[in-house]
Amino acid sequence: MTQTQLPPDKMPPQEVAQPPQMIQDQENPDHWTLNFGPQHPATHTTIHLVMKLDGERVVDITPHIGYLHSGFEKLAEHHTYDQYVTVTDRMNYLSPMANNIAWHHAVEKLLDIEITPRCKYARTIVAELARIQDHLLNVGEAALEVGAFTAFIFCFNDREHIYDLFEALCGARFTTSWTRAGGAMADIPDGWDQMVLDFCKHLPKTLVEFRKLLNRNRIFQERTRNVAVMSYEEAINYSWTGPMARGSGVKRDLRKDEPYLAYPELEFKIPIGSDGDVFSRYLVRMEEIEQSISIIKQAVKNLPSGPINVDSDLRVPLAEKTETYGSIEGLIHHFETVMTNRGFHAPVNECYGAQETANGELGFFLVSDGTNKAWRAKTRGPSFIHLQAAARLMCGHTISEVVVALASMNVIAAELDR
Amino acid sequence: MDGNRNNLPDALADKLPILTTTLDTAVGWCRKYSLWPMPFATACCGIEFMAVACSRFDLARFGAEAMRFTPRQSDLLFVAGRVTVKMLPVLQRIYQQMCEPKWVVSMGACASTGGVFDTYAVVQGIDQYVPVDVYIPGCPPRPEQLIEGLMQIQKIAAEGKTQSRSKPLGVVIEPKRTPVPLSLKPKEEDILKPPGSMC
Amino acid sequence: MSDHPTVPLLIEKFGQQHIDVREFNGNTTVVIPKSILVDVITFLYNDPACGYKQLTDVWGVDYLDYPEEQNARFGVLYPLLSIDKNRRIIIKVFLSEDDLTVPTLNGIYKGSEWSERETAEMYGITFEGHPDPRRILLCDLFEGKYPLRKTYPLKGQGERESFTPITTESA
Repeated sequence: MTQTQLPPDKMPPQEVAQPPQMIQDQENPDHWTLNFGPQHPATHTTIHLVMKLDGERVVDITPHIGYLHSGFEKLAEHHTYDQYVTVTDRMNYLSPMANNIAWHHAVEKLLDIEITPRCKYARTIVAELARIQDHLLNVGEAALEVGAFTAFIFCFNDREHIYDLFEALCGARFTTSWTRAGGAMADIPDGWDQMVLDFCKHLPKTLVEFRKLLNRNRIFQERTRNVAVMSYEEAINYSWTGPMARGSGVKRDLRKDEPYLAYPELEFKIPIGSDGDVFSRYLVRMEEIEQSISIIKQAVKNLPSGPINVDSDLRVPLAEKTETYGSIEGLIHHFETVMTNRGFHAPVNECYGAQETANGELGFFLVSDGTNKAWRAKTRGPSFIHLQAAARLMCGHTISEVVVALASMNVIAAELDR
Repeated sequence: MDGNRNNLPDALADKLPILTTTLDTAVGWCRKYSLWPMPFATACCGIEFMAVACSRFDLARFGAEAMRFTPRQSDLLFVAGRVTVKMLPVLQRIYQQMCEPKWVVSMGACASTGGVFDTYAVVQGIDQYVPVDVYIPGCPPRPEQLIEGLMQIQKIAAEGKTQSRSKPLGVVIEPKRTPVPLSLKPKEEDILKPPGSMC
Repeated sequence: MSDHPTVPLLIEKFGQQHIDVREFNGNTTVVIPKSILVDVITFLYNDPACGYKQLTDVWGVDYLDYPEEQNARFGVLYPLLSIDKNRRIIIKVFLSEDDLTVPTLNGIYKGSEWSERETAEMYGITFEGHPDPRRILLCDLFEGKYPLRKTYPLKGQGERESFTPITTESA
C-alpha cells in the first residue's frame, strides 16, 4: 500500500531527534546512560544531564546547558544603560532586585558617579531583602529535594512578604526594575521602613521553626552530609564564589573585601563552612539570612534623609517632577534623558563592576564606545561558573544525591544561559 | 451540575434522589475540578507559578494542585517562561506526548509573543508552533491573573469542547487592575499638581 | 604609570616592550602579546608575590568599527583574582581575524572551561588544547554563525522561524 502524499500544511511534524531514555553501553554492558532533563522537576530549571550509571551510582555525567539562552548580552548592545535594567530582572529571577543593583553598580562605576547616602542605604536594605528572598527559596528547595515539603511551604510564605515589600516599593512584585543610574526610580514610600522592620521581627520565628525541622533531623543530615564535597583549593580553582565557596571555607565576600554601598558602615559577620558539603552550604545560607536581618535593621535605623537621586546637573537621572513641570529647562532635561537617542553618554573605556549577590559574585564587564549604549556587556553569572564543577561534584554519587547536590548549587537557568 | 429536572413529572422529581443530565455535561463537570497541570516552567514565570501553587494563592482550591511532571499523566500544559530555539523541539515533543483532551496555557509575555526578548535565540510566540488555548498577559502575570486563566480553562473543560476541534481556542485573559492597599494610597494633598493651567 | 603592585613584577619578568598597562576607575588591564599568554598566566598563578589563584571569567569583545583604534579586531580578557591579597588584574590579548586561536588556560584554571567554550561559540575563537570544545549554549542551527559578532543581526538569520508547527490535528 502506498502512502498518500499529504499537503504541506497537513504534514506530520518532523520527528525530533532525541536519545531514548536508557541506552546500554556497548563496551561495558553494566553501564547505562540516562537522560535527566531538560524538562524535569528536580532540575528546577532547564538543565540536561546525561548520566552514565552503574546500577544507581553515577559513573560519568555530562551537563548540557543553553536551553534558556535568550541573547541577553546581544540585547544589551541594543539597549541604553537604563533600559537594560528591565532585562536584568529576568536574569536571576529569584532575586531580581539584586541584579538591578549590581547592574547599576557597574554602570555607575563606568560613569564614575557617587550615589547619595540615602540611596546607598536604601539599596543596601533592598539588596539584603533580595538575598533573603533568594536564600529562602534555595534552602526550601534543598529541603524539598529530600522530601521535606513543609519547609518549602514555610519559605514561600515568607517570600510572599518580601514580594509585598517590593510591590510597595516599586509597584511590581516580581520584575522590579527599581534602580536607575545615579539613584532609583522612586524614593522609599512613607511607612515602608516600618513594614521592613515588621518583616524582620516576623522572619526569625520562621527560621526557628525551620531549624527545628531540619538541623538535627536525621534524614536530612544523612542525605546531605558528605554529599558533593568540594575542597578549599578546588573551590578556588573552579572559580567558585559566594555561599558555595564559603561552604568550602573560602573566606571571601565582596561586601567585606571590596566594600560598596553602605556595607563599610554596618556591622555583620561572614559565615564560613568547614566541610564543603551540601549540609555546610545549607548552614552558611541559613546564617547569612540571620546576618542579613541584622544588616537590614541597622540600615533602616541609620537611613539618612536627603535626595535619593544624584544631582540632576549631572544629566544622568530624570529631573525632579517640580522642575519638569515648573521650568522649561527641567522639561528639556526630562526629554533629553528619556529619549532613546539622547540620554547620558559613557566615556570610551572598559570597566568591571561586581557585587556579592545571594548566589555569588555577579559582575558586569562593560565596554563603552562613548554612546548611550554599551558596546559589550558581559555578565559574569555565578550559576554558570558553579555548574562547571557538576561532573566533579556528582560522579560517584547515586541519582538521588545528584538531585540534592544540584539543589545546593542553586543553578538559575536564566543566569546560567543568559 | 446543569441537571435537567424539567423533563420529569413534578411529583417524581421531588421524591427521587436523581438528577438527569447528559453524559457530556457530567464528564465535563468532573474534568473541571480535576485538571492535572504540567508546568513547563523555564524561566521567571515558573517561580510565579510556584507562588500560585503555594499557601497564599493555593491552586488546590481549583482542583488543579496535582502537578504532574510527565506529559502522559497531565491534561493541561502551562508554558511558563520564554521558549528558545533550543527548547522548542522539547516543547513540541511534550505536547505530542500528552493525551487528549489537552489544553495549553501560554503564561506571560515571553511565551505568548517573545516579550522583551526579540533576539536571535527566542521563539516569538509559541503559538506559531504549538496550538495555544489561553493566553495570560503580564511579565510575569500576577497570581490572580493566572487563577483567572485557570478558571477560563475550567469553563472550557466543562463545556466539553475538546474532541475533534481543529483550531486552538485562543482566549486572552484581560489584565485586571489590582487595588492599591489603603495604607499606600496617596492623600489628596500629596498629589503633585502641575502648576498653572496646563490642562 | 600604574601603582598596581603586580605590574612591576610583570615588567621585570617579561620586559617593558610586551607589557601595556591601562588604568580605569580601579581596574588594571594589562595588554600582552598572545605568544606569552600562558607564560604570564603561569607566572601570575605560581609566583608567591602574585598568587592569582582564581580566574573570574573569560570575556570576549568584538572591536569591529570601535571608535578608538585597537590592536586587532577581537579581544579576549582574563580577569584574575588573588584571594589572599584581595587584588584583581585583567590580562588582555588581541586576536586578528586571520588567526583566531588562543591557547586554553584549562590546564591552570579548571574554572575556565565553560567560559572559554562560550567565548569560542559566540565569537568563533578557537581555544587550542581545550579538553571539550563542543558548543555550549546554542543548538546546531547556529553552525558557523557567531551571534555576538557585530556583523550578526540582533534578530538572527531566521533560526527562530525554522521549525515545523504542530496543530491540534497532527498531534
